[in-house]
Amino acid sequence: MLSRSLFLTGVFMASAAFAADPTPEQIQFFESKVRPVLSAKCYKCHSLEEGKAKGGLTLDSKAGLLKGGDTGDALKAGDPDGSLMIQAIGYKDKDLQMPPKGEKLTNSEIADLTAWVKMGAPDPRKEVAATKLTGLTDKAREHWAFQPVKKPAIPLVKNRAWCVTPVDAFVLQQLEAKGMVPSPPATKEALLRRATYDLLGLPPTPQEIYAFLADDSPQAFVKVVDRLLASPHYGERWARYWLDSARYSDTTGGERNAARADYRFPYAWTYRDWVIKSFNDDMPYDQFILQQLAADKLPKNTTANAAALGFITVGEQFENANDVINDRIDVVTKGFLGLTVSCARCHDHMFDPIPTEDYYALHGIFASTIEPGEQPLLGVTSDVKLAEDFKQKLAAIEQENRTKYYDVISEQTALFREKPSAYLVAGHKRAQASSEKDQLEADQIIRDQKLDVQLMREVLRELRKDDPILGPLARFINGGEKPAVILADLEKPESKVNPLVAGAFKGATPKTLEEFAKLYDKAFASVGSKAKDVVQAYATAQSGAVTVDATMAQLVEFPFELVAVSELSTNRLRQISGNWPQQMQNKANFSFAKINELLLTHDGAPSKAMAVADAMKPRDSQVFIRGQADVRGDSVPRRFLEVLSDGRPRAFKQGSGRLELAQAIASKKNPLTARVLVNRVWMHHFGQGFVRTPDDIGTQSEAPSHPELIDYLSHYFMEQGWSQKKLHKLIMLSKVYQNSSYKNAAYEVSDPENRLLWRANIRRLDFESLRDSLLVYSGQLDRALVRNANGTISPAGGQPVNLTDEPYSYRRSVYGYIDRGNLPELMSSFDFSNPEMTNSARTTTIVPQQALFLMNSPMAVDVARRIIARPEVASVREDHTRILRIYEIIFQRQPSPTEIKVGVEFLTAENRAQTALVASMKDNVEKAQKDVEKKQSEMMGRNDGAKAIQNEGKLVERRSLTPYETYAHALILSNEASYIN
Amino acid sequence: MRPDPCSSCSEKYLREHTAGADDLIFTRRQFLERTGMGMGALSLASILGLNVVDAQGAPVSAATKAMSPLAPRQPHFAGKAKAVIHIFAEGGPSQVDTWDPKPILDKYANKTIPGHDGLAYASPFKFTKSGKSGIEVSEVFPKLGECIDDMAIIRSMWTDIPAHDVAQRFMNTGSLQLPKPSLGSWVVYGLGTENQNMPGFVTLGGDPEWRQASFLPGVFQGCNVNYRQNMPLEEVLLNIRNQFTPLDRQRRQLDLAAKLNQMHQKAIQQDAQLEARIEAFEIAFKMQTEATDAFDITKEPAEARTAYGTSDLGAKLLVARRLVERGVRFVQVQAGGWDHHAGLDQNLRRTAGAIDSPAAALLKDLKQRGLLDSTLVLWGGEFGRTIVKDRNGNDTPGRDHNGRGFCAWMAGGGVKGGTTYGSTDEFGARAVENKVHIHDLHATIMSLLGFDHTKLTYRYNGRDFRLTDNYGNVVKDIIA
Repeated sequence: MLSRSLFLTGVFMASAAFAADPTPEQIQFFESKVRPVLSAKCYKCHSLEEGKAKGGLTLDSKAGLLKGGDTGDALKAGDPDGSLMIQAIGYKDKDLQMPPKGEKLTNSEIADLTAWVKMGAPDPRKEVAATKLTGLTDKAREHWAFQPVKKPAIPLVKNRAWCVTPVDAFVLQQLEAKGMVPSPPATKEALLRRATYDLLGLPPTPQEIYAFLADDSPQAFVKVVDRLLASPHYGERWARYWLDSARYSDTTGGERNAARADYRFPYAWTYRDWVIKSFNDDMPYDQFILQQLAADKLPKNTTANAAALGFITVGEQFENANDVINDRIDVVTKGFLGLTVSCARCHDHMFDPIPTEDYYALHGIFASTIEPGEQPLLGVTSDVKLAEDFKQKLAAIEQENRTKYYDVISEQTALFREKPSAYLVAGHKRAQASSEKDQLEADQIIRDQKLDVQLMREVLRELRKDDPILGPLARFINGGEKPAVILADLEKPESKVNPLVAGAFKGATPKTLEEFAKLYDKAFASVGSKAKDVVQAYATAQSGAVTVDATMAQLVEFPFELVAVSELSTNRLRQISGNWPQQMQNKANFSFAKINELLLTHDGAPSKAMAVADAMKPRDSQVFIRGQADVRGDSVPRRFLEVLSDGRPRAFKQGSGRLELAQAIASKKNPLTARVLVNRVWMHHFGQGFVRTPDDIGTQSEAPSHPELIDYLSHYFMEQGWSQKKLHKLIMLSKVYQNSSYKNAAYEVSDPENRLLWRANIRRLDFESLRDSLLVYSGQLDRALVRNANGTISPAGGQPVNLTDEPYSYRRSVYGYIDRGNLPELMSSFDFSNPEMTNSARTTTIVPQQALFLMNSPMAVDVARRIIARPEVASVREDHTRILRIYEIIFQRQPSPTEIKVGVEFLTAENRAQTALVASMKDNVEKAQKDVEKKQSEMMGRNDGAKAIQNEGKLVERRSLTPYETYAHALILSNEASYIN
Repeated sequence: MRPDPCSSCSEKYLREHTAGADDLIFTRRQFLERTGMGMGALSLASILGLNVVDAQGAPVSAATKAMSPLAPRQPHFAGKAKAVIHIFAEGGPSQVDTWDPKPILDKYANKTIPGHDGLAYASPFKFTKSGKSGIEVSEVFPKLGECIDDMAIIRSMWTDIPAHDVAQRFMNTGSLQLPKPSLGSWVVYGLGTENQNMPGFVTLGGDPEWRQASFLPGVFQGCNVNYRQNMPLEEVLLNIRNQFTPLDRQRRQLDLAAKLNQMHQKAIQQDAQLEARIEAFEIAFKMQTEATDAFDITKEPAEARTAYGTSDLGAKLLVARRLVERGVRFVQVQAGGWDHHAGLDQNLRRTAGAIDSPAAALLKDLKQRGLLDSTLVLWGGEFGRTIVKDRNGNDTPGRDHNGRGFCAWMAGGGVKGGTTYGSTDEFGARAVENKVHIHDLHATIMSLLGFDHTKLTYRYNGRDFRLTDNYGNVVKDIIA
């Protein structure tokens, strides 16, 4: 351990030594002994020149040396033993050895550097005038993903006969290089199942299977792909993938309680439905980007597209505006570019060529983007009765809120008027407490007078020299002006001070804070019972005209603001009350949540877009030094990332610059945009991408498994008008896609992760596919794309539904209510994407909770029952055919004779066992049924702003299963039902 | 394997190339070789869960149990610790306010200290010598102070990057960036678990990343339970009870599914995921009886309930003990809230107060039951805090992140009680003496469990991985 004195001395000496100019001898020593060693042995990892600053340390400038690295000062001039750098080169500490392994300096080099530090580390190097941005060097630019996308030649392979599409040639080339051959084609059943799940997230129907098996034409699979791509369920499946990238949620996140009035987004779902429609329309991906970033700025755009802007706004609503901006920078850069630009918020990106300036260039764009007070209307119901019902319900809640507003204002202002002087004196002493004495006195007053500290803070906020009420006091205590001058000013005609306050001051000669404060007691005493009338006047004012004595009103509303009822829209009320102290907000307990609830659950509710707009005065942002908002550096023009620009990026000029940003992203010249998209599409088809970190293809990511293929596909994708459907088709028609998943013991050893794609990967159904499949099995799936909460088909889209709780919705899972603050346990146990931020790749875990859901949940049981109740099952009596029908439903194939035999055996045994069903189970079932009924009655009327959405409907009946139902349930538990192979 | 480009339908291939038993055994052996456990002869039946099919619902045989990847295994050498309870103090507890007193800061209060940006912030808390060992304990931990003679305080922890997500990942997985298996997953991979009716690794809260199995087989992943006291068990463990089907009938359902799974595996060949899923169903089935009991703290005597306190955190630690008692290998309890950028005086006191009684009760309870010797209790966060005031905590001071020095403590499981290890510099800002890096801490935990951390490896993608990457030194001085 360093002794303290040594430590301090070291630091002081360092500054001293650097301050003095080195002597000629010292320069000579540095140039001959030190610089060559640094340059040859250290710069490789620690220099701006090389763009490397490992451990945050650069050694090729005096400033870099002085600054030190992440583990501290590199050197303490004059103290070799206390210098990390010398410790490191001496290999004295096991954890700190530099240069690393095998490159240890020679003893004489170590001796030279030690001697140099001992003499005070004289450094004659002049500072470089303009240092390069860290990392933004040619080397970092060389990363494959930053190179332009070029169309590679299709490789020549030996087994040309095997290849059907160029995709095959690229994959086969790498396999052949390793002496490997691809697995044989998948069975037709497996292929159809794979393709249907891939494109629709649903299983094929038995009819589709039989049709495909019967179709011997070479075009059979092409027809399948075309049919699937044309299905409206395609959009539902692929939109969900994008929603993972877009960190979609129906709630704001953050503190989650009933008092959080605006915890839910009432219109997030309009963005979700827009995404679904865009996929179904095969909207070109460049358009898809432009719309989501700048729909409001595109010429001749439709109103419907305003919903696209939800991409920007459905993120977590942090209290700090800079955190919101950060969320937006993060989703744009990870989502579209596969770059972690948000790392550059506090420092230049550690690994990628993204200087902090880049981050603040984007910061300016989003700082200049606002959410308009009134969201664009997308649609209203055509059902007049529904609309009217909605209107009335809304009006009732809004009126309730306004009443609360006037009540709370009355109460709080009255609280102040009881003891104005106490609030002013204690408040001032506390805020300005220059001594402990002041502080104690203030605390004493607060205790004795039982003051409300939060209210006191509000009062203090008005303590400004130009305030019509507290102005005179502010001039005295903050401005230090003479009382006589202040009082004299009150007499002047131009005085802005409230006449009632001025009246109280008339003739007085206050000299102290306390005496000043007392005068306010007098002023506010004049309010008396008039307060009630004033508030009443505001509460009943028609169209903005409040007939009331303005002078008196100023006193009545102090320290808050009275707004006329005609001006008090819900938005305005939110805005005003949002600035109130928390206690006061709690007291008011506004029913904003009820409004959200109504918007989210009433079929007559209008739909609106979570749009953004440009701020009136767009502005550039200054760099926050080390991410700290209060330490500002240079201003950075709003512009695109430097590494992705041709030469110096040009400043954006149109408003916030969002459209220009969108154009820079949605550009064929952008090397990342197409590659990121292609990589994700590939990932969803094969279980893993070329690069397995789909949201980061920067320098820290692994090299792509098939670099030429990702480029070929990216090029093709752009050439084909950014059409995702064409991309799917190209991929799916390849032999590679149609491989079977059969394993090969030798390849399992050499390429266990199947990076070379010698076979198809078996994949577990994700949460949505699994849940949707259950509904397909049971025949309950609601296939409507747009449906409102309570069932009406609305052209505007569909409010979110509850997926996991009884009574569970029959809609597809993509329409589920997603609460980022409280993701249902079921969804997280099935690896649903965390909607906190962009998470395009889901993990695939296997935990007992997944098993418990399938074994015990009312939904799974209900599905088993309904399978047996399906007409094609119920109508047949004979076991073999029944088993066949059940297999067709659950596995989309015919059972083998063994499987039928096993099934019949099971049913026979079950029939025998069930006749002896014990009475205790009957009791259990009855109890369960009662519990469930109780639960449902509790659930009703418990909706508020922070809870999950409740669906209408019946709970699953608690009744034990018949042998056939038990059988169907067992099949649902099997691996085959949950896996695509 | 030969491609068959001519056949549009490869049923013929399927028939001819369906994996036989040999292939399956090979794959299974390979799986076990990867685990480095060398468990000898294998039973195909056990791999595929055939025992449950053939036994017609009879209890799983001991021989079969031994084949399960979760079966208990011997470590490299005899370790005292058999189970771990990790109390993760997420947020970054301040060292100078908890376990590393630095009275000199009083002298520098509100002054600058060379080498540190900002004004020094003296701890608002008093420290008193406690126990026979006389280790100084902060006033925020009065109850833990009573246990100090069972605890080893490490005062010289350090980590690489003081940002929450990265540092938390590091503490829980030993990896800064890439997804790697969690500490708990490694432990269960190494030791298996004592109770085949429960998951081997249970977490009570925390980020999914901290319990991930990553490239280890899925059965080693932590099973998270959103436990709150007084929460009906049906909500604690969703779907833990079946309201429709009695257990014996459900057993028959699972047996049928297992039989079908076997045929399915034969058709598409062995796969670790499919095996893990079979295992998950078996555990789930047994959890219905076993876990119900473990999570039911109403079965505890009143004095135990009182000792652990009435908070959720107290109840969680009590559940942790019940889990360990039932043979769960690794329990992680999320006990965060330590990110005190502002209002440290009040807020740290509150956060510490929340864990003080429960943690002390846990240590005493384990000791009384004779479980402390075999249960390692670990408390610590992802990094420490600055000795100067946080720039953003204007009115009420707090401290900013600091990765260069922080504290952790361990108790039980063969840890030398009543000791402190390592030290920070004079002001408590950075570890200087006997520094303990995260990798060192992990190496020490593994050593207490009986593992040479350099030898517990898993071969993946052509290379052997281990929890400690290429680092880690066992802190021998805190091992009894």
